[in-house]
Amino acid sequence: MGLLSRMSTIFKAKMSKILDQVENPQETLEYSYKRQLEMLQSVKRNLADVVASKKRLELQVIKLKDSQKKLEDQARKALELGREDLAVTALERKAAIQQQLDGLEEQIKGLETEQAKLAAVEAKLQAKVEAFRTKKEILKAQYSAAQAQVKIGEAATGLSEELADVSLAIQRAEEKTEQMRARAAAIDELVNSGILEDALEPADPLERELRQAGAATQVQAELERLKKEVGKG
Amino acid sequence: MIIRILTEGQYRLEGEALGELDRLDDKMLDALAAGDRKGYEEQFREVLALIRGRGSRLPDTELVESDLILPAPDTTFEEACKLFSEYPRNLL
Repeated sequence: MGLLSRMSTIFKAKMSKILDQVENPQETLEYSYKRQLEMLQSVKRNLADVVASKKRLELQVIKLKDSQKKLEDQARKALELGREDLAVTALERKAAIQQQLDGLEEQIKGLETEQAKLAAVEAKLQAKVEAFRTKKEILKAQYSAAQAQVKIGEAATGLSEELADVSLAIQRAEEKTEQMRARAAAIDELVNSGILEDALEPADPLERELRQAGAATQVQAELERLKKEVGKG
Repeated sequence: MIIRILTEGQYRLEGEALGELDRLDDKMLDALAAGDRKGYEEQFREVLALIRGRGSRLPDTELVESDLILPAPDTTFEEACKLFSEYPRNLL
């Protein structure tokens, strides 16, 4: 065997080093279990943070929609009073808010994706911790039995392999979770610093102008609609 | 032969399957030495499929020393390079 026997040699060499340091495998198992529970808690907290960020953005959307409604009422009133200039200003503000709303909705969608991913990691980790809890008890019992029989040979080596394997599985789950958490935290930071919102603004001047022109057309159309509504069209 | 797939558990593999495993293992070594990411991933998938398909799973409660240990199924090319380069023969 080529590669695979290398792998075995490396693994066994590492394992014997670990075993030399470990005086009581039962304590190690308990410590490992405690670490896993802490990890799970931290994933849950992170998930809650992402949900909170999303809620903040959703509240912002509600507030902006309220403002839009208020501005439309103001435009209507202005038209009733024959002040078309004021109506145009109000509708322009309404259009600007619409652009902010589009940006916010995009961000909310992004956070929803992160939330789903974190929830998947949480479920996976939860299942692993649960499986470990059961396995831990079996291993502890087996270790005691092996100790009682003073059987240091095969069973002890098998047990140490199991231990190393289980801790490796947890380490991998932790690494993946850390990656997810880092990504979620980065999004949070972007939202808080407003960079994400800036990023949604088109950098291209032509596009910006087209957007403005679009908003102006929208303002004109709404003005016509309101005029008709108040019977001045 | 008792084979452990890290993070998964142990299997018992016997007979012709061992020859096949040996062949796949050589191909995997070649792919890794050549820096062939796709080749490594393909061979590794085949190795795992062979063990899972033709081997018999040992219960977790049976404590036996493995003759062969395989990396975790989601081991990437980079991780494999790092893992195997620790063996005293230049791979990279």
